[in-house]
Amino acid sequence: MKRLIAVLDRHFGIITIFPAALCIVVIFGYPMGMNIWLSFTNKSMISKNVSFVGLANYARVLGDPVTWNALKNGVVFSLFAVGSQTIIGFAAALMIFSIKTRRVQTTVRNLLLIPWATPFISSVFIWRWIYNDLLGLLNRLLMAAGIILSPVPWLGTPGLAMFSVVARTAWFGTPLMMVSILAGMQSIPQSQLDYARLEGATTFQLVRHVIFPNVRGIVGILAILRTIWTFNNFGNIYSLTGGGPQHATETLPLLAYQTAWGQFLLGKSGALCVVITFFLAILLFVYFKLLRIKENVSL
Amino acid sequence: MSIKAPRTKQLSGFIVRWILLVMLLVLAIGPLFWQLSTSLRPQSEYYDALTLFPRQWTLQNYIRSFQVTEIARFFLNSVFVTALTTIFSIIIAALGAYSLSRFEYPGKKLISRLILLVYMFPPILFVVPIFLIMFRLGLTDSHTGLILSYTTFSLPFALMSPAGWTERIML
Repeated sequence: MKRLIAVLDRHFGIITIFPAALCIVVIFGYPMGMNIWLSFTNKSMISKNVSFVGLANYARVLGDPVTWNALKNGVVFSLFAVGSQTIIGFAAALMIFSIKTRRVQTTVRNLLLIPWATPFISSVFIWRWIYNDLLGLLNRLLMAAGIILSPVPWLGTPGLAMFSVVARTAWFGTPLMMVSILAGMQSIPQSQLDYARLEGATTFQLVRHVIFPNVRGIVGILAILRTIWTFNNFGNIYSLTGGGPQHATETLPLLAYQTAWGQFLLGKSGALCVVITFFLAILLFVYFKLLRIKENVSL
Repeated sequence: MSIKAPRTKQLSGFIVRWILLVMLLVLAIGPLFWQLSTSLRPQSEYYDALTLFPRQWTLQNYIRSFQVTEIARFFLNSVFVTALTTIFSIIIAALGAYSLSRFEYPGKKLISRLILLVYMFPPILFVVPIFLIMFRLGLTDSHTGLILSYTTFSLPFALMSPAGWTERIML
């Protein structure tokens, strides 16, 4: 018994990670491995023959302008969606942080958290209704206010469609950003804030030199995780525009999905997935360098 | 965060801040409020009325959804699946994150990189392979299958976000 405990104790690190590792390997490892293997074959759901084709799928994927268009859309989408979430989230957190009454502070925070708590499918209905061409809330409000004279097809015009998708994604994602940054601000030692105040710091200086350095790490990690999530996100775009009009909002996951389940080219789709992961790895590397975050053990 | 500044400046800052906060609140809650308000209108009002509240209040839409669908059953399903998923993922992720931040063992770096890699792979492409795995395990159309896949999908994020905090816990 004693020996058993000693053994358990010695390997406690491995024992505690084991359940998580097992789940991930079974549920993710197999599909990922399959995807990578398929990317070197001409597997398709229309024909029975499968043969090894080397890098042919990669050549096709990288030589296709549709891929590069989807990459561009993905970068624009992630950049604007995550950028607006971070900036609005930080500003909102700062404003809530500066509310002095604790009760008001909590109430405002909770109310602003509501979009994050909205079920996905419910928010899809809301936003399709808001963006509706003829009878949508947005068009009716803008027309009632006299800003536009005729209804604008928010999801049917290439430039506007991207804007609409970004706005909806930011609406959904900003609350989490805000609440995490706020939690970071609230953990700043009161003495630091008091000291800065005694030294006669202006609000701007306080934010710049005390508050921002304290939450920079949180903002950085959140922005990274959000970027990955946004870049890979499928539902937000698919539910509003399905990638259209004319590929204007088609990002890489939508393209990969369309290739696999629209054209049934599993090999090509596998190659696309690997390419997406590769792009994200580059993106992450740049992020880590920019933010100068010390490489965390967990990452 | 009170800063000694001239009274008027403080006041104007206060006003600007609250105007911005109210704008944010309208943006955040407005769409949901509109959905709630629409749900209480009769069909004839869906398209023509641009009023905050229904002109004619009705619960007809709610009554209909209870009649047409088994909404109570669906609700209980959701509660059940959510509760178990939360419990399992917290237990598994808390243990895993603790392990990643506290211990040194061969393969740790590899495991943490794999988690990040999994997180980076487009999730939509797991849908069909996971269906196939569940099918082979005989878990399709079951709560167990749903809970298992939800738990796993929540793991990469759940493992990465608390790792930073568990490191800070003083022993």
